[in-house]
Amino acid sequence: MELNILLLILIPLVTAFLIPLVDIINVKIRRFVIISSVLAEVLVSLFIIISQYNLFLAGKLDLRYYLGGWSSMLGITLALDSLSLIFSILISFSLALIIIYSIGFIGHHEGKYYALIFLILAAMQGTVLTGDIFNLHIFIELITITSAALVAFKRNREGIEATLKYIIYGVIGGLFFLVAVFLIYFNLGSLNIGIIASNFAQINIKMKTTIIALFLTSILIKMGIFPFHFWLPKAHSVCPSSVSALLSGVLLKIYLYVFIRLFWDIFGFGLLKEVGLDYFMIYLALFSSIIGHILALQADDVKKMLAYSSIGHVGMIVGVLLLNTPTALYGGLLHTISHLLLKTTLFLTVGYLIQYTNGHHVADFHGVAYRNPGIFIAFTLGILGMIGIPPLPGFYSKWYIVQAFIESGFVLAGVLVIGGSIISLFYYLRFIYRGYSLLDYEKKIKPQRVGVVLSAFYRERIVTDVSYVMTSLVVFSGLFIWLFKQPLMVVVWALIGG
Amino acid sequence: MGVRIIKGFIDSNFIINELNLIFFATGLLITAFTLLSAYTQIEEKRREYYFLNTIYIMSFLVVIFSKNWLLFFVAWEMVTLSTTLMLLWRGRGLAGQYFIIQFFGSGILLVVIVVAISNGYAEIGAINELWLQNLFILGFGIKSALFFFFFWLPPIHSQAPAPVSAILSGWVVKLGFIIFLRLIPGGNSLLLILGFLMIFYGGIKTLQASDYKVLLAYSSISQLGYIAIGIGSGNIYGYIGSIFQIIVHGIAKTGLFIGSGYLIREYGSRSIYDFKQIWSRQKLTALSLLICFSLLMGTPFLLGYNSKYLIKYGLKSRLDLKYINTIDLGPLITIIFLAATLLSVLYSVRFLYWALFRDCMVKKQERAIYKTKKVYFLKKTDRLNLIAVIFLILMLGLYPGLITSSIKEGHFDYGSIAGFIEFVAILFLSLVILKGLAGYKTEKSQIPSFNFLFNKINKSLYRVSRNVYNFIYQDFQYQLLCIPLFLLLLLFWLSLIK
Repeated sequence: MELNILLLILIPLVTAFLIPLVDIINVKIRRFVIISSVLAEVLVSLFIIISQYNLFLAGKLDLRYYLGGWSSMLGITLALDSLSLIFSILISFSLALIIIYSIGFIGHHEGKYYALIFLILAAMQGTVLTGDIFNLHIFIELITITSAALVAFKRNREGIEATLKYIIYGVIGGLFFLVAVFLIYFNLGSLNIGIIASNFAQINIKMKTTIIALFLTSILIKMGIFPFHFWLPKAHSVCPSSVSALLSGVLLKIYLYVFIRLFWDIFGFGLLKEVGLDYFMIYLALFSSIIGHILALQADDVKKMLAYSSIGHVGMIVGVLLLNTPTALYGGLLHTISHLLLKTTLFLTVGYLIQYTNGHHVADFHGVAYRNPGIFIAFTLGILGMIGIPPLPGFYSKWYIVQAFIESGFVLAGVLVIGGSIISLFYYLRFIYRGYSLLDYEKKIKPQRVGVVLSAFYRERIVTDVSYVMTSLVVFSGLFIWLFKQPLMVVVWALIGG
Repeated sequence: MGVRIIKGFIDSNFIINELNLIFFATGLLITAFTLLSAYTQIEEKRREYYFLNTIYIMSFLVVIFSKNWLLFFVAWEMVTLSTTLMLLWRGRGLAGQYFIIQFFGSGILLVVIVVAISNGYAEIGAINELWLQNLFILGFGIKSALFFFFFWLPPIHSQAPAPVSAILSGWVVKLGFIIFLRLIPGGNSLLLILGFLMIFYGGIKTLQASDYKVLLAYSSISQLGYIAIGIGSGNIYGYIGSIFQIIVHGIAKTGLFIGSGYLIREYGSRSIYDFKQIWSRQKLTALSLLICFSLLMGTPFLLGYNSKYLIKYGLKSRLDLKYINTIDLGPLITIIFLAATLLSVLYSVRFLYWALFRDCMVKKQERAIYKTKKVYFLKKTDRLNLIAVIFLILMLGLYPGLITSSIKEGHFDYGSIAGFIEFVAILFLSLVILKGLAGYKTEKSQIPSFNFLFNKINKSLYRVSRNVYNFIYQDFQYQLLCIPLFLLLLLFWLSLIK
């Protein structure tokens, strides 16, 4: 019985409901509640890492918490294995930084924002930690509803439009998920993931394929793979930048986690191969990746551009994971982490930069580098990481992904990955070029550092500092990339072995 | 303990032998020269420039010594990144173009390297398969400016600031050939043919150039051709000759590009026809021009002669080229090589004629007038720099043993008077041709640039992307229709199984 696992979900959940109460008493206390709750979450995560690290490295991590003491046959189980530990840590730390950033970025006027974002945190942790497939559905729906509220946070026309689209897609995806869960329950009589995994082979093949088709459609909608990507760019660009960072940087990875959990742990990858879907999926994902990169070229809106690039990268990760070789899984997981770090950094820094421009358009980036050179350098570093320039983390994952594709005989796929990163060079470089557009030593124009009279933020210092912390995490993880090798290989072997 | 780990790391990832140490020492010397010249040539942000140079030195150290593909590639990308940032001292347009082209090249190279790794070449070493060798020639093509891919070299090298040009032309393009020395020790016909094409194309373009730095850039292509021939011949003499040629060209081009900075400052022009009275205005620069061009055209008693002689010898003694269909190709190769040498002598002499010898007969009073018109006074560091280059060239010419104590074949054979006679004959011939062409004066050529190419690519990419967007983004009901269609298609496919 490990109470820590429950705490990971409970702390943000309680905080979310505490915030409206605190607001009634005194709004100024809220900040301390938020920070202490975030710190508590991070500390619990740290405690779990430190206490379980040896077990984790041995590949034997399997903590369980039975809610209400009911056995796994009847009750709800929370489970923590090596895969969920990695994702849980990523969520705690990145969300902690994003929430602290929000304190400076959103300000103190909006109590709802913090309630919603803590609900999302609880739902994300729940998705990762639950050992019950119906609970998984509940948490995914919770994420959809709360994030929809955050997408519409600016309460303008575009926001509501994007939210409607987001909700329609999200609900349809959730519906398919629910139907598939029902089908599993009718056939096996249990909702526990472990029990389903061991008994799934007993279901007849027609029912199995139906379940797979439903799950696949649902999860592809949620990840925004090509024919279902229409909701993503709008939803990820209209909301405040901190929410964009959350959606594009972290939330897409949660669905990747669900994808891995379903198709590796529950059904077993052999089934996907058996029904001949793996090649089809690889091609679909790669096509989606290239389409995402190409569409990013025409996006003049910086946040839309970043969102399209997310489509490109998630497609690449899905494609490489489906190869199911050690290199492929390692590359995919590494790219998941590096994309999380880099996209979060990019959205956080962009959030700062576009406060000082007229709009999100490329043309508005004219000379923005001189507002705050440090932040713009952070933005540039994020871009360099995205296109895969060593020693930033994006490069190493690109290397392993290309290696995995070529080792499995998909030379064209490797070329496509490189092609995607070359295309992304074109659409990213425009912004850097614009940002430094006053720089011209030949004409001897010395750029003046543009002073800002009025700060657009509630606490500008917090915003810049969190951006710098995120950037230093990116640089650090790039320089010490070999530290990721051992823990990720544990996960990889667990996936392949199981 | 720590020492042992470091030693193990070095042993498993680096090759330290005499050849690599020679290359490293040469690179370090060349960089030292450029740093000295940067002291006067780079006026703004000198500290940042020196910092970038430190990164650059560390990176090319790893490139030269590494036998681990990943480490090698990371280091090479760092070389690219640091030189790109150095180009910012000219302007972000040039840096962006250089970066895009190099990124394109490294993308191809990454795929090729991964293909090599998946074919069993875990370390950088000799490659046996011909197709893989040719693939590597394609992969290194852009980075080392081989034929068909050198289109970027003249615009970039001619527009960069003088010390950066010296670095790029003197050392960065050589790195690919240094790796070729390890990859293709057995020779490769494709490289041989490309080498000849480079010599002739570069030579003819050099003869036509009127802009001094463009002339130097094209002559770089021509001289790189000799290295390609030496490696492509696959003969021990050719191999050593290309090692010599790498060193010779590195030092000579560094000296020339450094001198170009002073000359352009002095005359305020880049046209070689404007360089009047260098002898009276900048004695040391004039001397360095003379020595460096003599080195390039292969004057006996300088190292350039040894390198070209060895390459020619190696080429002649390559067996499989000597007899194709029982036709003796020996004389033909001799003639072609002679023509190549003639070309390089011709363009050197042409430049020396316009710059140095044209007006060395003017009267004393006139010379005095010119002396008073001095614009740029060589600083102490500049003088030291030029003297060091001249001294190094003379010393290496007199004692080639300094480079290769173990390779006896490389030493200049003072008995080969025939070679001397041959050289004199070539010189005489070229002087005759030049005298006939004394009026031979090309029109002021434009600096080659590919801005239009980049604009075109950018625009066409944008248009393609726009079209794809318009094609994909139909009305919302069609977007939603994708979901049931996809699901039905999936179910239909899966129902076909069994």
